[in-house]
Amino acid sequence: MEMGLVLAFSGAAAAAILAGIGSAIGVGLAGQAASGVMSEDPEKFGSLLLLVALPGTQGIYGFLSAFLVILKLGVTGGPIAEVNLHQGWQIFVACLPIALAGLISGIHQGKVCASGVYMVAKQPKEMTKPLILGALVETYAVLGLLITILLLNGIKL
Amino acid sequence: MALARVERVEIIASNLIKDELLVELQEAGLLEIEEIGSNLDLNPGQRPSVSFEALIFRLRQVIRYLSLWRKTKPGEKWLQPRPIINRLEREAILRQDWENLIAPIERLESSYRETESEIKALEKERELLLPWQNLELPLAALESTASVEVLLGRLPRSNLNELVELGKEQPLWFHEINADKRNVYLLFLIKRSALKEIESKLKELNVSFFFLPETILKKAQREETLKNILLQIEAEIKEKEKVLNSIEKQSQELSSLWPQFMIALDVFENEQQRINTYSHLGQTEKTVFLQGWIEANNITRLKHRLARFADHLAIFHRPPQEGEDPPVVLRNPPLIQPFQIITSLYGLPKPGTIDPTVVLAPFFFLFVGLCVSEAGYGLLVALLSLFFMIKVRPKGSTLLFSRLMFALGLSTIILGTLVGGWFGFPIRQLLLIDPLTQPVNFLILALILGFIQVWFGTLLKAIDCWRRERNMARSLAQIGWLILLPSIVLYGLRKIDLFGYFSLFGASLIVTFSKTKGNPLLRFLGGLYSLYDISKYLGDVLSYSRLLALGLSTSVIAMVVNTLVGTAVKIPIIGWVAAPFVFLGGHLFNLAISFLGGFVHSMRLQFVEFFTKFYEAGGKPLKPFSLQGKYVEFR
Repeated sequence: MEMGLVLAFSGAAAAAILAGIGSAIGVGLAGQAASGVMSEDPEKFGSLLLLVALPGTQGIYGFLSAFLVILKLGVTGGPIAEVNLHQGWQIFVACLPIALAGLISGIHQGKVCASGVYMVAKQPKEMTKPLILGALVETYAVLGLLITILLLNGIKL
Repeated sequence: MALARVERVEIIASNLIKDELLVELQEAGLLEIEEIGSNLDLNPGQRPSVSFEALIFRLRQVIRYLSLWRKTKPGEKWLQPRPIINRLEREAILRQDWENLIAPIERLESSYRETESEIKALEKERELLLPWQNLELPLAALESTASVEVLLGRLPRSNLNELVELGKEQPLWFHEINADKRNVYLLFLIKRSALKEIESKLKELNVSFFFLPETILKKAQREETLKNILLQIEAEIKEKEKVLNSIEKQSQELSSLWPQFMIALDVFENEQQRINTYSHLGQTEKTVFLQGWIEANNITRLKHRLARFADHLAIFHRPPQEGEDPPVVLRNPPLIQPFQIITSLYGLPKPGTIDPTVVLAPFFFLFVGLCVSEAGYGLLVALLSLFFMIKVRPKGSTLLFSRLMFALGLSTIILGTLVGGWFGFPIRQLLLIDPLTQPVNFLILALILGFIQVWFGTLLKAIDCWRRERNMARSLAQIGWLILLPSIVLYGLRKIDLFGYFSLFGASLIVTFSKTKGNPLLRFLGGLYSLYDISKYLGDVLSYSRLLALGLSTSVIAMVVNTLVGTAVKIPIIGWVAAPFVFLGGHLFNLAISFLGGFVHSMRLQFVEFFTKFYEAGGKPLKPFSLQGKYVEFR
């Protein structure tokens, strides 16, 4: 039983950590690019903020998946659910889609958004096009989240 | 569907009225004036000799300087309605003596910059002299004599012993004036006969000699000590800083003129714009010729505005001809209008094609609501955009965007109540689907919506093939898809033979009509291959599953925020203070990211899944020659 809980916790932690790393790197890349552009043109802060924030969603998806696990296990209040080894593995594996898709897509979305920032620097009116391009990458994090949610939903404790 | 008709306009006018004509056209703001091409063999019109470019440049400089001093309340930039300027006010601004207003500010700026750099120079001098301030000799004593050279120099502390050794061997005397962590500051007296040798030895010991800067030598008296000079420099800095302060104060007072300059800049830029337009005209000996585009509905208004020139000009208009590339205007009913923003973001439709705004609007409305699915956030956004529209009275694209946000707020209120909650608390009686407990139902809803939109896109393609291209075969192939897609889904779900036959019929249409060129066998094989496109349709529909993921993430984060608030409240004393902040901050954060995600992803669904079915962008917007204010609004 103990081991099952450990696995379930590891799953939640992996989702939050890996997707969080992806977003941190992604937002970092876009943020650096934005600071560079703003050193020339500080007025652009408003229009660049969205592009910098966009790769941040993976981290939120990871956090959210971790929270769903926490809710499922009842960690926030009351007795913690009994988890056997099989269920533990199930929860762990269910967390992997958002963890890994979040990690990789966050980094790549950051790259797309960083070049989007350069694009806005030269074409201030084309603010939404880079946003859409960023969202194209994010799709796979969203799909990962979707599968994680559906898998978690299917696990009976 | 809803592209406005655009017509070609040509005007021939007498030279006598060309100035007034351009003024009138700019005020009317109806006609896009196109540059005359070389094919007409007309000389481009002469620009008037006046030019405001220099003035505009100076105005910009003055504005930039004044905005350094302008104190604005937070939000003022966004929340203040734009000043309205009518024709009379414009003319008054043009007549005003701007030289008299600009020149003093320019002088102020240059004296500000000058004083600033003077202070910097003085501070540098002070820094140079500071290590030598203990040297209590007048400057005159530092002058070398015929037999003794007097020098100041800095020596690394570690080499001090070697210097002492050198002093014993050579005719060199030194005295320590000051010392810091690394260096000692020394006064050297060296016998001139041995100067060369000693100097090179000192350099080996890393002595760097210090010579008083010219600027100081010039202004200082020979009897003064360095300490005195330093005090003078400091006094001078204080003095200059006082001057700088008074300039700052004056600048701050003058910064109240900032709005006036902004208005002037707008007025003069439009004036310059009109002057530049002269070169777009065609010039003959007695007449000018101009051509351009106008929305067909506006022709009578244009004629009406030009009625007073009736004796001096002739207006011709006609529909665009083959080979011409007219600009496009989107015209939609007021409810749909805000969604034009989404269409324009992708790119306006080619002239003569479909305006997708009408069909996009309901889907986009629904999708954003589903993605955000938090009625409380919807209410906030709707109220904020309403407040903005009433308080600021925006015009043009800003107004359109506010109206869009208002509509999306409403959508979020409705869908949030049905499939989400209010600030994380679902109203169970009104809930259609609880996304947390029935995610599969929500997923099915998302996929059904996606299926409808993709099917609709294909329908539009079929209509477009028939209407515009008169291509029956291509149209029939699309109709094949329209039949195949729903019937194969129903067959898969219910296994009713009838739907099976329909699927086969649809597939046969696709196989027969997808490829219309080449020999029959190749056409058949090509048609079979086209059936493989069904995987694209599958992928497109599955892409709509993001609606579930995004909707769910908003609900869960809202719940998390509430849980955190619950935890915060339990902390004694601080809890009650912290809880409201956690609640507000958490929900505002969630609102921001879920609207960003909802907006961007709904837009992507339109662009990537829907538009690719039928839509051709590539139109350019109609840009009427008009008065355009960046800061003001022209009447």
